[in-house]
Amino acid sequence: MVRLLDKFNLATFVSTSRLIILTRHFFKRLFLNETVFFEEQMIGKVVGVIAILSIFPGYVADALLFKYLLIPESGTAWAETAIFTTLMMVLIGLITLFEWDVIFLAQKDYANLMPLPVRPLTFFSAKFISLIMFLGLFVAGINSLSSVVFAMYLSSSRAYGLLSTFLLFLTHLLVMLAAGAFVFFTMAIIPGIFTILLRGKFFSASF
Amino acid sequence: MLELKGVSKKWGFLKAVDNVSFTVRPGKSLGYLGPNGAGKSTTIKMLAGLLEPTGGEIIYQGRNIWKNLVWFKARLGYVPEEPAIYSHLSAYDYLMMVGRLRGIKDSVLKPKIKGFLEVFSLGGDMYSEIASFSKGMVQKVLISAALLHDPEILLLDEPLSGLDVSTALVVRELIRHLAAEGRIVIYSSHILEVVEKIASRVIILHKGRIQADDSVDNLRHLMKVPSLEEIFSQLVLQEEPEKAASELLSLMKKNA
Repeated sequence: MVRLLDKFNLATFVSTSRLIILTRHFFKRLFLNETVFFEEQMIGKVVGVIAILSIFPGYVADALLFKYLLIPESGTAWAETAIFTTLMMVLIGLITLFEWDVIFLAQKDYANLMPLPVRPLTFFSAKFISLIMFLGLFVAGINSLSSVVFAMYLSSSRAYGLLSTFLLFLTHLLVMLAAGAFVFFTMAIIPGIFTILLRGKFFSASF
Repeated sequence: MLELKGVSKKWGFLKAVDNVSFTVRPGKSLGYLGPNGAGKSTTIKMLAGLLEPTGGEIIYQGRNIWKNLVWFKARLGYVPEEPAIYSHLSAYDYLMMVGRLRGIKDSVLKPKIKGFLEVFSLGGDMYSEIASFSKGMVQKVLISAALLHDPEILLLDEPLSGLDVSTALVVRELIRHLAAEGRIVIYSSHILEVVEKIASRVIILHKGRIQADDSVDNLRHLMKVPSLEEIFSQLVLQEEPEKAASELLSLMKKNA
């Protein structure tokens, strides 16, 4: 029994470490394409792209919440927050749609990794986790500026100064991450529902 | 013992591999020959667990490999025909990833990788991105990746492609040693002279079917021809090389 447990623990440890190796590998691969080919270029380009993309949500947040500099916020900002969250959810939905293909093994992944003794479930899990990490980083990145705008404008009527500003910043970021996760998992469920309804036969052909 | 029992692979109506059966025992090297489109690479990919056969079984040590794929792949070294390698990684990082995914400890892996790359004269380039490598250098990395875990079975699909003469000689010698030490080596190639020198037995495939399966000496004796090249010509070549060449020449010169 002890031997069996040891074996199970070893197998779990090996597959976990494989999952970590593959997740790191796939996560890095998400940023590499024809224009960004090497790792040192990758970090600079990613930071630059996210910084540029964060301007748009920052500008939208500023346009929506500017009035709270003139009039005190007394619980009415939920409407602007809802509009902003909806916009972000649509944006994340579109990005999930465009990046959805990366959840499947590419030709290079197939050629390099399939001859190795790794279970298909480990490949799929690593791909899925890396995509979630990518979207998480993206959502946090593009909402960094808008979170500052939300925190600045809505904390002016709060009594706790810097602490309430920081808490509002954190809350806004977490709400955006949660909204992103909701859209992502909803979109992940759709192929599953279709596969069940159409018994895989018709749906698998389109993937 | 590795055994193929009536293995077939269909692509729609096309039979790429048709009812292929053979057995390879440990310590034997098998040359797998055939013209373009004969089904060599498809068979090798089925043996590597990359393509599922549409018919038949592949058995290793009494187990169906498709029911024990992870177990089988842990015992397999595979050099693919098309080197679709992760070119953004360095040779060292690529081999580290492959070794770690094969479950080799870092303390064993690191000196092993350095050793392989030194022997293949890639010591100075081990931290450079593979994108900057020549075809031969990539091939050396792939051969190293296939040998890292000391495999019981080695599947080599055109392994000498792009290699310089001295490295090709090293690899040829290595294959002989691997077979002599009791491993199963399956060597698929178009280069008949190399197969003739390496393989203890050859299988000649044509249009997905086995045309001949014997040792080179027996085939020479049976067909009364002096070389493997002539055996191959008699079995699978349907057009005369001279006639085909002159046809190509006349087409080339047309309206020139």
